[in-house]
Amino acid sequence: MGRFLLRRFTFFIITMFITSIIIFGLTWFLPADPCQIKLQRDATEARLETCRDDLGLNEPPAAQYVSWALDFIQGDWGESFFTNEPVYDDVIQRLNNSARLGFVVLVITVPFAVFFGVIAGLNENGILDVSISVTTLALVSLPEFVTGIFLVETVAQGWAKDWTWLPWELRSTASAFDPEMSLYESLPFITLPALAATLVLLGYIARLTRAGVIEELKRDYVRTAELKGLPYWQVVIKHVLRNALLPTVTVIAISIGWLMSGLVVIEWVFNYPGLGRFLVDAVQQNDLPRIQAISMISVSIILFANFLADLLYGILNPRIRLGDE
Amino acid sequence: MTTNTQSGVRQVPDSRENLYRIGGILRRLFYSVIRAPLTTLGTLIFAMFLIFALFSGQIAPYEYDDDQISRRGDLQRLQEPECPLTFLFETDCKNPFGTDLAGSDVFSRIIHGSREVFRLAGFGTLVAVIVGSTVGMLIGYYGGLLDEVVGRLLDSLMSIPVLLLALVLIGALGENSNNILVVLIIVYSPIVARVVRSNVLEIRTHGFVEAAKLRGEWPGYILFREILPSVIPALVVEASLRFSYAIFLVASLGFLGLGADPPTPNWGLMVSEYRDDFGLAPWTLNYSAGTISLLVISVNLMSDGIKRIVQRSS
Amino acid sequence: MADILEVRDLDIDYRIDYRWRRAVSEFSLNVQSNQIYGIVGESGSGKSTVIQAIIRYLSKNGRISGGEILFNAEDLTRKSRRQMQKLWGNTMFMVPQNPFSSLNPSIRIGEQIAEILRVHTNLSRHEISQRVLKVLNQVRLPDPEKIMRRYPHELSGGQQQRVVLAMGFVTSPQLLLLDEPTTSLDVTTEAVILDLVRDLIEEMDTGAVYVTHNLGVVAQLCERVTVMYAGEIMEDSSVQELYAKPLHPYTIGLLASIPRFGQTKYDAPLHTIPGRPPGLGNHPLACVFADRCPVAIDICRTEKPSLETVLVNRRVRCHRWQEIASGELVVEQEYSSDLAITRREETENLLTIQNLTKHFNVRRDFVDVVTQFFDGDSTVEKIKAVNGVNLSIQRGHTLGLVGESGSGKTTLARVIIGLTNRTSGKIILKGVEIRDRVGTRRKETLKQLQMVFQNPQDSLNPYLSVGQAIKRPLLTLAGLSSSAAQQRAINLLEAVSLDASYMSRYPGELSGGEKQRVAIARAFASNPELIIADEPVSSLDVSVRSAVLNLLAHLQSEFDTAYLFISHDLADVTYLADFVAVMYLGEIFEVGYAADMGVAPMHPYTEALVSAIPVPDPRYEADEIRLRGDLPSPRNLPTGCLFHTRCPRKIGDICEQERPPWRDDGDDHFIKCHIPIDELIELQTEEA
Repeated sequence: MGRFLLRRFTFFIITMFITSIIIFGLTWFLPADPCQIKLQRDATEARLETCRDDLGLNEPPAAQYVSWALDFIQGDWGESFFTNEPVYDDVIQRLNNSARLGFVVLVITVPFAVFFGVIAGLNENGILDVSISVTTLALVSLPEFVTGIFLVETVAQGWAKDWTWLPWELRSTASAFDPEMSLYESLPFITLPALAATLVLLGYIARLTRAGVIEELKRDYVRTAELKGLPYWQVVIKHVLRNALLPTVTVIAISIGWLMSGLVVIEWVFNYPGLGRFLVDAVQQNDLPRIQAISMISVSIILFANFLADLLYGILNPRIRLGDE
Repeated sequence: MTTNTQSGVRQVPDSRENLYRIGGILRRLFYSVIRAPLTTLGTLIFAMFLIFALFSGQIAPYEYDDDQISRRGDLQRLQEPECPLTFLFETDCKNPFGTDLAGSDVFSRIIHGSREVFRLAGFGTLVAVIVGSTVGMLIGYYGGLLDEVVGRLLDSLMSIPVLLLALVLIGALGENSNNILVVLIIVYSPIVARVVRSNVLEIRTHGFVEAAKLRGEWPGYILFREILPSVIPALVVEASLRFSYAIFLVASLGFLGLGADPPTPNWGLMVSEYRDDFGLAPWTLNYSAGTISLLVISVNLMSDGIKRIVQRSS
Repeated sequence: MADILEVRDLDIDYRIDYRWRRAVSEFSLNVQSNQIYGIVGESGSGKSTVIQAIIRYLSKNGRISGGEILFNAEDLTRKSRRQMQKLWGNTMFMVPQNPFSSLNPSIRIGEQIAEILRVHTNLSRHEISQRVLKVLNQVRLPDPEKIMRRYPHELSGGQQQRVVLAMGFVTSPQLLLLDEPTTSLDVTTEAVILDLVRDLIEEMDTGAVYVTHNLGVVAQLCERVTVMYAGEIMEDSSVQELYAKPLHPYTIGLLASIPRFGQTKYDAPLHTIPGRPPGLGNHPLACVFADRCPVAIDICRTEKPSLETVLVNRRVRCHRWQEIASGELVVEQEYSSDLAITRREETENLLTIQNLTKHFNVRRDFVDVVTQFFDGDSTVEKIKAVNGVNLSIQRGHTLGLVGESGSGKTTLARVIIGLTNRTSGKIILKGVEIRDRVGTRRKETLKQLQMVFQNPQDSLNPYLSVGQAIKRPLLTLAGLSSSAAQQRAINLLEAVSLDASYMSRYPGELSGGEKQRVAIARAFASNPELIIADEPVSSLDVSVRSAVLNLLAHLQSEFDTAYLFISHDLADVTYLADFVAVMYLGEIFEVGYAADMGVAPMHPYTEALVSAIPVPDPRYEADEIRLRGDLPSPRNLPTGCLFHTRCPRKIGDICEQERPPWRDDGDDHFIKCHIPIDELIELQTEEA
């Protein structure tokens, strides 16, 4: 187990390292001149020269990367090209908002998705399966902005206007959202974006779960379990789900990455002050330090989630737990 | 040699095994259609969009930026949809999906938009598949240090969420519809490479590849003549999947206002513009959003079906 | 004695392409307690379908469309799944083919057995664990308490199969259905498992149906046997009578097509059954075997024979059984004289291998290297697959290499052919040392060494026609022009008994045997001096196997090609080979003339191999030389003699400490053992 943990951790660090090089390279070396971008119309030769000195652009690329990476680890994420404010505080604030939304989405989605996936998988090609599969396929196929706009324009501003039974009012934009709010207080702002993200993610996880269950049902040991005379539910819970849901742990980690892509669009639709919206703003403003910081923090979260999932998978799966001693 | 010691009896091979002849392929196609009506439906809708894209100039009644109001001198600002479902049969149907606030024909914009989708998503996917499968074949076949280094790089690239990577690239390259092509290639090549690599890893252990090595064949022959044909089924599945995601990505970027400027008939951009007009002209949003969804669903149905067929025959 | 199981006129269909197709028809069977009933047949004969139907566990597209299955006089075909659930694991159980995949990887062994008791009994927790311990003891697993806490992947194949057997016997079942339970195991392990099955069934007074393709296993294990072909019973009889006097031409052919241990290619070609069985649902309204039958007459093709009762408890489905029984009709093949193989003079060595070693580094990727760097452990683990092998092969002769899985025989073949590089040692072809990897070898060398692979399914490219596959080496290696290659390819196809029409066919249209013939033709295309054949017949059906063995023998005498013939089957090896080498854990332990194998003196390992062969003759009583334990890991080889951990004739500490010397019996027969030749002879003749 110790060996396994060390191996996965090394993997995490190496991937993190390479990814950071990619992100730094893409944002810093791909554009012709970051200073040109920063100064834009104000760019005179003299100003460009000072700016290049400030940003260290005259150093060799490797040195630039090393000093950037060291600064980044220490929380110095540079200053925004646009506002000249330190990037760190803004990003952490936005990250906090996104995390709140993402958490709600995962908590709602995972149980439902796994439930529907298992039901569909157990009834492969039956009516239940076909209806669940077609619905989830449609959900996966709908772009997030279509789902989002539908929820805003048709549900929130249409049907839901007359719904008095809702425990809280549904807000179609989050412009009045305040990061200081408690989770409960923020529910009116979070509900619709969370619902939009849920619909998309639900289909994704449900389809993966279904595939896992179907594959597992074909295993010889499921036949053995049935021929032991175990009742059907016991075969399913003990022998099928135990192994079929193991990969779900990994799936949830992967879906965090998927969720991040989805949240970018959804936050834009609902005007929610999260990391995704912040990124789109930064891209539109060519604000390279913000783009770097947001993508680095997102990738770190995903890779760390994957690392945790690997560990959990290792703990749950005896073949890894004992095989690597 | 006597006849009865060796196989003198020649039998007509079982029809179900006759997989590699044209007749067999057609028969299997027929069965697939019967078995999978949804796949067939998806394929037909996809084919319709493909025709729209190829012949957009002939099919669309107007240019995408034609101003209907000045042309027709109509005082009415907006034209509601006249004949959304029967436009193919009614010759006097001027604006099947109505006009937008700018006075352009929504139907025409959607048709022109399909060309834009296929130009970006289709071409991007094609190049990504070619680049990805070349890289995947090379690292899968040679393995060793090459695979180790390139593989790690691909893994790292793939750990960045697709839209995030796309946004970073656009941020660095600038907003421009050709940059979207670059984005698609960079984002999807690693994924294709991974799939091809894992297939090659399996196929290269097969006897027929080893037999080719024993003949001293050069690697190019082994890769393209011996290995590639067996990779193609998986590649087709992957390509159709990538294509559906590419449509998605192009539309999302357009919606976020990146990579296309008005009045380009980019569907994502159209949805984003028409959203503001929803109160006055709800049909503009409904038809544009509906079209994107229809295309993505049909491509997904199709790729789902292709996957099933490939899995069944292997 | 009352029948436990009585199957009457069972019909089974599968739904394929929207049509129900008959897979098994009019099957019947009676099993009594303490009786093992064999069902023998080739792949596609419907033998596994039958037992799946008996236990009412057909796949979703299968159905029982007629007949009844009486289990303790109750008809199982009328039972619901819920009712069957009460019987499954309680009074009947099925032991499947592959034990590893049949055990749940993430549940401990003890729990996997205990859950059966929990469903079917009211025992307390303590009683249950006692019962589990007891049954693990009964299946002779060492240290049952430890095994209970293990996971399946920590056990060897033989141990896993014992665990599955334990599942069957933990409740005292009345009926056990065994579906090729030893097919995935090695011969020596198979022998041990068969002993166990035999003893347990006698001890527990259980009735058993044993499905297999191996006529030897049936002869050694079963009391009665049913021979199936294309979903129908061909012959049903007691084992004694069937082997003594088979009545059906199919049975006669099958029995004659297996090389008996000690039989060689110089004696006579093996019996073959040409053609292939009809596909599912394509059954003609005639005798299903008529197309392949050497004695078929007109009536066989127009009228379906019924299953006639010959004697009490003996049935046969053939129009001509009476003629066969009375001896008027002899089912025999005539061979033209050019098929006879004449013994060759011994000649110079074509290929010599000196001190060949192959150690694989356990694969480490970049992450492993970094991990180990932090771990402070930089040792590279090695898998010692081949450890110092010296062999030579004479021109135009066959060297047989025999060993069980994990013996390193395939690695040795791949090193010689150049698909794997070697760690050390020399390979000398016609007096010239040849290079390591195939990519660095000269064209002349490539031309002289070719290979036939084990699995015919993937040895031909599915997207290239047979013609393309055979023509390619003719163009590249033999340097023929396109038209000459075309003609030569047709000749080669004819040499492997396929006609020119096969040129345009694709591998997907060929049967396994036909594919292997094409692969052989391809190997012969460059007119090589040596062909390495790695288990070329082991994945083929019995009736096809003999034809390929004949073909190999015939081609050798025609083209004067040397073979390195690798197999786990000692009988196949001694049939085809002139010389035999026995390999264990990457080392050769015995080398000699094929004729010397199986007679004293033998290395104790060879002795165990010989004793483990299931001989297709129920009268044959083999010495019971059984190996203990499992094959040691090639990562961590035993000290001294590599075989000492399992040797039944271990003489003491010397075996654990010192490498054994080569001993020569004076007739070019070498044995690597601490026991002197004379003592070996004494030990081995004493018991026989």
